[in-house]
Amino acid sequence: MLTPSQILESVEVNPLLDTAIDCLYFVTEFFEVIRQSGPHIYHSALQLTSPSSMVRKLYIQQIYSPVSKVVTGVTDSEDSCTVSVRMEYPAGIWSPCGRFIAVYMEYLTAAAVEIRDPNTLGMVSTLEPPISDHRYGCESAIFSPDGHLLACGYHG
Amino acid sequence: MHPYIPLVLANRPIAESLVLNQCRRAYGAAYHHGDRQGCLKGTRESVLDEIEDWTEDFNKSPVFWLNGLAGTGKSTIAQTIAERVFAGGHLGASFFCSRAFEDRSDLHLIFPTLAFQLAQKYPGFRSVFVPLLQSNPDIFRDSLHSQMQELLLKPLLSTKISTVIVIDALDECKDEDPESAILFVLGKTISRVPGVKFFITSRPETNITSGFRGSLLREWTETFILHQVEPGIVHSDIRLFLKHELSKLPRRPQGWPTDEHLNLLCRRAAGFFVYAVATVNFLRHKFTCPSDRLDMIMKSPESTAHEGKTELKAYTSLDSLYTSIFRATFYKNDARDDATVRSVLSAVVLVTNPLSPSSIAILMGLKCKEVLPLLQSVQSLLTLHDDNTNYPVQSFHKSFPDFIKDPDRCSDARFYISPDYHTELVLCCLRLMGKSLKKNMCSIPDYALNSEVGDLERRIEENGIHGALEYACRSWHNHLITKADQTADLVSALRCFLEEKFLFWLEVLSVLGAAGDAVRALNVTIQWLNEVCPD
Repeated sequence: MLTPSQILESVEVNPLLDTAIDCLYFVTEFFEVIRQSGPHIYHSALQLTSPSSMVRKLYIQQIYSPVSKVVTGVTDSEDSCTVSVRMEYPAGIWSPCGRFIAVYMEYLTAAAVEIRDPNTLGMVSTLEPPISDHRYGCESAIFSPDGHLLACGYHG
Repeated sequence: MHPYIPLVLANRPIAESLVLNQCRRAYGAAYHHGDRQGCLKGTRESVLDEIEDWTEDFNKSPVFWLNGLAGTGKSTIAQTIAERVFAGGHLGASFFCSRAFEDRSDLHLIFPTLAFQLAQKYPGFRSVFVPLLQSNPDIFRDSLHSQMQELLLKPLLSTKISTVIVIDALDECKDEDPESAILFVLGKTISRVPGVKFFITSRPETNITSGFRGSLLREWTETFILHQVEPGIVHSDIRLFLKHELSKLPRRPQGWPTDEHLNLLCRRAAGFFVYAVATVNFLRHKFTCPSDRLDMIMKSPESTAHEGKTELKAYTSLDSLYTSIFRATFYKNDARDDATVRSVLSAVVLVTNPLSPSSIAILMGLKCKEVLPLLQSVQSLLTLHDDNTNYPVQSFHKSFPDFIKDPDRCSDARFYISPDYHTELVLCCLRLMGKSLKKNMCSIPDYALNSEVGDLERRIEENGIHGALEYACRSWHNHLITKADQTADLVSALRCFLEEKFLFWLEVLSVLGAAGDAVRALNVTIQWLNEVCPD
């Protein structure tokens, strides 16, 4: 006859505990989304959770229309999206058409302005400064209303 | 801009009502809700007179504690006092605690609910309370001390109203503190609101007794111990009650009940009104002569032992009465029938919010035509609406769940509801969710917020979420206990639930406005898994 602990070993409690912890993490991380909208549990919370999330792995087929998400510069953690964008790209603006995002670094030596895909953060283009020996990064940038031009401001 | 702001300019009372209605509170806690009855005229006169004198004299102590063992009639007295004080125009608010309801057993909802009622009654209170509510909508999550300061003390100090507040059955609130948390807070503030009187009833539980006898409240409290009233007075009150109620029963023989019957029943009641009420309920039967039913309970062993935790005995009059009701009702049952009786009754006495017979049937996987007759057969112990299978069913008195869940008191093992029935309830909840939960059950449009769906309540109703499924989704975790024979089954069911239904469950909680339940449920689950498998 099996002891209670042997029974529990046979039903593998620990993986279930990991799943429960991951579920709790999912709920607390996306609480406002879950509280406000049923559909956004799939559109927002499930979309934005980390690739390593068990909830994501279990329910990936429930995402309404799978789209690509951050694939570069992202570590494999729940907060990777936020953290990596905040650290690498202190400033950014959307193009009026919504298809691009221009990201630039104030106060840093990298002077180039990068145009990236907002869904994947994949590089679309790199705009070098007109004067090659700029010592400081771009301080501000703005798209023209038609989205065809990008005006950048540099210090010095 | 918030929608009520233009209304503030246009119509202040309407704007205040809108804000007030957003106040989180316990529903059905006020004295006028439900079917509670007051004392029969001519009974409990001396205690009622004493309490009424206290309510009218603001020079007396601001707190009155009616202390009594279970079944001595505290709630009936509280009901009568609330009705009389209301009639005199002095009742500010009332809160009848009940462990049968999750919100009415939540300590953190007492002050908000009292404040809500005070704001409804007194315009001056409302004009201070509403801006406080607007500036801190999350006050309900704050500590009891902060709630008292913000929701009651500030408005009371600025309005200086004189009023009486009734809190019944404080022992029915969940409170783990060694000294009642709410009494501690009350003790720290009572001296600052001289015009407010608190009438509180409870069993003499240790933490409540400590609260009233502690240094903060002792000098402000008048105490009346109901189970120490002169036995002759209680005996004659119970006799009057029995005579009045039994003489109204249909199909009674002429001259029934006799003095001998009344004397015997009074002796068996041993000072506990609940015995008399349960007996009358049992004798009031549609098809059977009350004298025949009285014979059934008269055969049970007699005892005059006191009931209640502090003076517990294996055989009490009340326990004996309950046992004889069960035996008389289910004497033809076989073991399988007894198991069904236990399952159905567990869904009455263990649930954290009352379920209707139809919801019990759905939850337990039974047919309504099985559940309803079973509940009707012990109707004397329940509040059951014959004509409506969707009306929640509850125990007629707290002493009944106390009895049936206690192996020392429920001596007939066929009817004892062991803690294992909690596990059965979790399994039933998980089974029902596994069967019923689907993606987007309410057909909410893509990308919509719940607040944008105008007919959300109708969609919830039409898709059968209310009732058993709502209970399963919101309360399954309340039945996770560590001592269970069926741990392996439960682990397996939990795995299926989390792996297959987790997001659909979150959706239902979202549309029910109960997303917070998900956090609680998962925390409890993690704790439970750690306990059943510490390694």
